[in-house]
Amino acid sequence: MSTVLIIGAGTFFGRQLCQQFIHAGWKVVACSRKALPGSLSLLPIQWYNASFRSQSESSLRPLLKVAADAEVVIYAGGHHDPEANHAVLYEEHVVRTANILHFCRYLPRLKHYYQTSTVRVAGNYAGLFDESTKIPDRTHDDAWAGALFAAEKLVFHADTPFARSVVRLGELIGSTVTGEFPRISGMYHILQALSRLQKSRIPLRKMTFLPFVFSESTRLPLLPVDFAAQAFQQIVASGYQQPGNTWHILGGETGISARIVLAEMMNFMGLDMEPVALPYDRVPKAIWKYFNMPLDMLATLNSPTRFHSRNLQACWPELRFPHYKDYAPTLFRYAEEHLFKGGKV
Amino acid sequence: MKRIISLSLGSSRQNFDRILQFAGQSIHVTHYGVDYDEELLFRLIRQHQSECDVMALGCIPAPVYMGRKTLRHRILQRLNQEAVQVPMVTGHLLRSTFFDWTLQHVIKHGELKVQNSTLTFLSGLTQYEALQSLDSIAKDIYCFDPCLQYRLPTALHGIKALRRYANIAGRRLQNLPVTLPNTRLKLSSLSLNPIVHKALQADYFLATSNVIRCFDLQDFSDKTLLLDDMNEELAADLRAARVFNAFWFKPQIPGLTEDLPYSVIEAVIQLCQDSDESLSQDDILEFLTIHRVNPCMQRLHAEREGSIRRFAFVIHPLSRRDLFRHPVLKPLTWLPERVQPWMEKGIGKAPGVLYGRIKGIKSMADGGLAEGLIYTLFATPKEMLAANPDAIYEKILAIADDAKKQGAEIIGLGAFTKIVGDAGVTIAHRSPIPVTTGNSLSAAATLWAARDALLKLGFIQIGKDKHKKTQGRAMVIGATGSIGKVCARILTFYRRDFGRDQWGPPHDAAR
Repeated sequence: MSTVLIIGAGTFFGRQLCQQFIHAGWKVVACSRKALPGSLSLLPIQWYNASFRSQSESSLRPLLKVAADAEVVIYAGGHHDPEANHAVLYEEHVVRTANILHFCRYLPRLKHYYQTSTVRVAGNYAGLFDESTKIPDRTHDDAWAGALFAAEKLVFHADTPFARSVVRLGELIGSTVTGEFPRISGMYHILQALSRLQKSRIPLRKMTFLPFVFSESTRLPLLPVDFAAQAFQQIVASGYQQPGNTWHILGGETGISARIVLAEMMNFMGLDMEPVALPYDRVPKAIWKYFNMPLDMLATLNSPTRFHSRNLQACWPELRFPHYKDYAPTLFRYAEEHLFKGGKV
Repeated sequence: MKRIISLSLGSSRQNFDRILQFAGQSIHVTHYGVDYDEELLFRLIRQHQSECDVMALGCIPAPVYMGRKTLRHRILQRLNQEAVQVPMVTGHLLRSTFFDWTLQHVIKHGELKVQNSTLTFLSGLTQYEALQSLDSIAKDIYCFDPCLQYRLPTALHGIKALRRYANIAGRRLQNLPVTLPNTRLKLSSLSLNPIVHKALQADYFLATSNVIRCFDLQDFSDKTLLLDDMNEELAADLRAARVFNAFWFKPQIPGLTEDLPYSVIEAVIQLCQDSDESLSQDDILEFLTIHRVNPCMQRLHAEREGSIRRFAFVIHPLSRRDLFRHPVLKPLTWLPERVQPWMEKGIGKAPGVLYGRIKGIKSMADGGLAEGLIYTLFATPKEMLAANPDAIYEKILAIADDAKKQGAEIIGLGAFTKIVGDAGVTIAHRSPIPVTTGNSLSAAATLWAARDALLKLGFIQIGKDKHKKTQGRAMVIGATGSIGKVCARILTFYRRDFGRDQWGPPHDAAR
């Protein structure tokens, strides 16, 4: 039985990864700043608390003993706080990555280190973005993506006795089975805005269209978390090393059209309207803020980037992700029941 | 294990985490680029100072020593005030010491020909020490500091202008934020300004690897760059921008195979010192001597020469009519016929002048660039043959001196300048640069053409007999001339009747 050390196991994606690896028969050593979540309490996981704030942290010693057998280390952590500034996010991701990499040097059986990142590192890159695309300077208006990109560079330019890979995930959304998602983010903000719109006194039912700030050409790489964990586990289990050591896990080959996503949401909310694309620059940000929408959503809905997953396609051409329309109602239902009741979660 | 934390104010693209083995000790180096976030830089300094033996700080603006005045950037002042428990190095000392040393070395050994060249510094203040040392040997120096710092569409000409600029903008310069512009500066769009246009015609562009990132690299296509450092990404960008060549001076320390930033190398030097005292230039030089580090210049395109190579060529009017075609002399065509010979005689005594330049000559073999300096004498053939050869020699030698100053490596004598007197022999002896009349090329071209013609026509077999000789007879018309004589002599090698050592007189071969 192979051992995997999952750092940042307390995050939403980390939890899914733990479950996936346990189901696949791996021995899982998990590590997080948070306490063991209830959903994992029944699983045979060794849980340790460590924050990797510095290399000389005392809590790392017991972890080092337990993880001595680890052949694979996955860093799935790092919080994504839209309010956090560049400095905080940099420390969170880059400095912590350096500390983790150094910690990994002391694991004698370690073969492969995987760093979880996001396809948002593409920034405002216009064109087809695959694993080998070189990202130009100054593309990161989003501090979170900028910090993750800096962490990626550190991983690639590290001098270690084990292999290193970066796995970039698409826009993570809830599970296709339960619809579970722990917080309002990304697409859920739109759903919440539509919900508010529906409850407002505006006579929407007479309208046949709804103006919304999005680009007709935008394709969103929406990725259900359970499928993301499944694909990740397959990559780790195979031990493939691609040139450049970068993987993209997207929700489908070329993502989902922003129009389809919006139309599906409206349909679910009972708004019998067509979304009409408004130009990005013309709509005052105040309106956007009125609906509690984070500004980075604007960039996401108007992204000029087209994502592509070359390596995953090449290794598993049979790999299929479910269509958005099939799992969207599950996600919306969960959001309605759990996320919107008390406003923000 | 020793520990170096390297913090760069620049891009995070160069982040790395390595363990170096040097001088019998392991050194763990972690390099963070903070993407021009000053607050993050100081935050990380405070956070990591207890974790490392030396702290290396990169991309910090260097202090500029201008006589009694010193320009220190706000960040540098703040760093000095910061109470840091470990030694801190910025790499400035190593960079300036090594750059200066290597520059002097390569100039002295002729690896880099910057004498009498035009140099453009993309930031003169950043490389002020190099600018000072090159000022005496360069023909012209331009700086793009106002453009870089304030986006002003102009350049500065000469070191005095740079000093004046620093005096006027000094305090503001110290407080300028260090950042990468959102859009890269496109110098070619400013070339309507004559001074910018001249600066863009420079032979060499000098910059640091951080500064050049602020400019659109397409503007440097077919130009030569002199940099302080290079990385893979920049090298790929420069190749994509079709830069003619780029040179950089980086110390190659035996035992340190990794490509490290200056600040990290300086931190390694600091670690090798016994004390925590700050490094001096002597310490750096001592380290370089002990570790046998030689001044070395690295190239982007190893096969290409430094910059544009220059040649000079001397021409003269072939007739009186040509003489009066010159724009300056054109108004004198109204002069009566009787006066014109006197004019021709008078003007013919004038010394030679630089008439124009031929630009954009590119070698098809290696992409090398050349520029021609065209000098003219005003004497017509009639005047030239009538004149005392010594007077013509003096004029041509004065031209050769000037051509050398302009950076020409060879001078060609055109038309009657190669005939007058002893056909260029005296000039070749006394000229400071090699002299050619073009006759060697004419002879070679004639023989190549003759050989090609024979091969195509197939009248005779070339070099097919057992002595590798050619069956057949050759006739050289004008075999007593300088070209014909050479042709005749070379043909004797390949004629069957003559052995290799049997030189026949020219008239013999010229049947």
